[in-house]
Amino acid sequence: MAYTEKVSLNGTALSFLLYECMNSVNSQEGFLIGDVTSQITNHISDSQNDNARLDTQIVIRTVLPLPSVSLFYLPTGTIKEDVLSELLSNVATEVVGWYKYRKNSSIKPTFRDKLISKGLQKYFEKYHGRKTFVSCNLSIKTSSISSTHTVIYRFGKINCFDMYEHVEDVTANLGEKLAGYKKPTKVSPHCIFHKIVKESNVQSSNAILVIQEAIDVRLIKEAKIAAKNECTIRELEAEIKQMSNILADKQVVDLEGAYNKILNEKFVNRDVEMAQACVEALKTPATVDILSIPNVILNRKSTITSDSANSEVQVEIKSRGISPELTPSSSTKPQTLNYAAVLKKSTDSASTSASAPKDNKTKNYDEDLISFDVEEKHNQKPIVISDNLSVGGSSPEY
Amino acid sequence: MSTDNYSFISDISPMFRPYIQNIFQDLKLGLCKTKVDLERIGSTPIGSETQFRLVLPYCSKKLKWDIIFDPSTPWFAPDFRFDDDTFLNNADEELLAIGVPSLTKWNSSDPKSLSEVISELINMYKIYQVKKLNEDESSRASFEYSALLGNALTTEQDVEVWVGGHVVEFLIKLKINTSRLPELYNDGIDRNPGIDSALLLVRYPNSTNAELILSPFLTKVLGNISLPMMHQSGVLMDYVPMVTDIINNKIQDLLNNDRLKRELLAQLIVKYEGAILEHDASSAALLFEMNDFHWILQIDIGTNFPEKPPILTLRSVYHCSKGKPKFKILPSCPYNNFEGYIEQQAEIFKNECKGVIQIHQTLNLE
Repeated sequence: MAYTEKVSLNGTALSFLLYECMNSVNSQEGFLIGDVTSQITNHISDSQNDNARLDTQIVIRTVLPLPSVSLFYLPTGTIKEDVLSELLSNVATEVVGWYKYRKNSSIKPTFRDKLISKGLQKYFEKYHGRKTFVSCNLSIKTSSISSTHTVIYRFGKINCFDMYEHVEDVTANLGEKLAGYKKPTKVSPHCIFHKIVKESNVQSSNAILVIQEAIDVRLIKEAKIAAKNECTIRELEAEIKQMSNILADKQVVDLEGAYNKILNEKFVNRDVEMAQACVEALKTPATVDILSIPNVILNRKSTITSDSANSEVQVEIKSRGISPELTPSSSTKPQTLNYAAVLKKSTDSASTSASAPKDNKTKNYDEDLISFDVEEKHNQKPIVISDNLSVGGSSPEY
Repeated sequence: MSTDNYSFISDISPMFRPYIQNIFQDLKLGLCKTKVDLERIGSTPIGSETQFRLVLPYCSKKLKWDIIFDPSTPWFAPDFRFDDDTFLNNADEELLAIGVPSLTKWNSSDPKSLSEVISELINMYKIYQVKKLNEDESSRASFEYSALLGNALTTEQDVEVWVGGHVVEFLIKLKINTSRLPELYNDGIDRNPGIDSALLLVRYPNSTNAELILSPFLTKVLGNISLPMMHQSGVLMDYVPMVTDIINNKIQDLLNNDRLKRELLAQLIVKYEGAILEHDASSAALLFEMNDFHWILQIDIGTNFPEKPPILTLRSVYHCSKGKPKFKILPSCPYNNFEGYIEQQAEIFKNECKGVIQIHQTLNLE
């Protein structure tokens, strides 16, 4: 048996739906209220085959918009059933679908939309036992100067394979291609109209007019009540909007604050790490220097350990010649200090042990190419001399 | 972070901007820190965009996931749209609660929330792909995957699987030791944005050619590495350790070469101690004198040492041409009788420099 499923939306319902959506700030959710009717058509043709077809029509009469989004579900799409029963109370048996409107977005359902559709389908199956539950995604796209607004919407449902599939929708006079005689939509024998006719027992010929008058009177009464309710609703909505604005502002401030805090922590951590690394580098002399001159290491060690050794250093600097080697062989000369002595001016080496150690430090300190002052206690000068040179300065070991 | 991303971030509403800024800082992706992009969807006026598309790298593909925030309820978790429709489409509560706990307990005042959700979702995507792979137990790819994980050298964290229509791809992270490389090539951070990683991309069917993907730093250091062919009967379990060894050996060779270079420089510096003018880790300039003629010898040792010998340049301290000192690059660098060779060349150089001046003088006279 062939099977078709269609959503039928009358003009009033569609315009109400679109009206509610347009007038929301950003997104809106709600439920579609209506009926599901099925009929089996048997198409007999010459081929003698029984072409039975089951047509299911989901008629949407009206729409129930919710005051705010994300009311009845959790971030993972789980339905909050208590909230739902509170919201819907007595219309739960007539709900045939739900809708989600997002401004300026695609109408492809999101990951959560699909989970919510499935959850709602299970929930409402308990109420009216029907497996059909449609979901509608709507959106609006505005041209850059707001002169053209395009509304797009699509109905769909989650099928038995857990895949989202599109359901065709029909609205009278809206894009219908059929011209000519249309059969009236079948009305269920249990519908309100038949009930009214049966119960009112009106027999006269102008039964319709009598019923119409009664309906008019009732409608006017209802309209007054509805108008009052609408006013209260508007006031409440304004209040809600105000409160959610306050909450949203607070949320923004909290989030920004947290983010700035994280950034600051990162900077502070980075500074702390750098300072620690500097201290570490100063504490541990380079264990293996690529130059491997025994004297260099000896000198450095001596200057770290005692200040009095400074005088020795000064004396040795003085004994070094400034002019470069004339002939390549220099291995005969005593290796006193490394070649960085060439960089030093001769005046520098004038300091003797007679002068205060402090002066020595500061004088030589100025001559350094790179000054590196993390802790005042350390006499960094000798260390810095060798660290100036980038030969294997950063290599941990060889 | 490219400038496009940066300008788009300023388009995003300030309500949600910290989440995205945090993604660029903290997001832990699978195998290596590749570029994450932002794309625009929707067309709200500037400064208040609340939805965007994240382009995430996975295996050799890019996942395009839409993230939608709602400005009227900014404390609520965002919604996602995945480009793969079958991913998470029949997830139930428990699966999501276990797999994406950051979404169930969305903390709207923590800027890291979105990054955590994304990393958890990518993890779930990985698991989903592996499940898809194992659906066909008899396939070659499925066997290779279980064999690769079975030998305990490669763990689940190191492999990303992608199952397409007819193709299965594996992206495997190789365990190479790059801890000593920064000593050699430290150009600064701008050109070396990622962690040093080498990835191997293998496709089934057609598993004869594997692709080696190196981070930019490693490409510069190692150059082109040609991988051995994968045979039809070969197994990934053997191939991956083989490739890892090839790369590690090459790195070790580079480090050894560098050590030789430094030792040579050290020897030179020590030997000509008083003659050194300046030096760094790969070159040295020495000032020599012979018969009252001074010249500067510059020794440049390239990165291909010892395959390529060092380049010697003689520079004059007396003569200049076009505002720069006269220099001559010597044709070869002998390892024997180095000093004799230099003396010879210096003599020639001296004559050349002097000779030029003589010619100039004669011209002026006329």
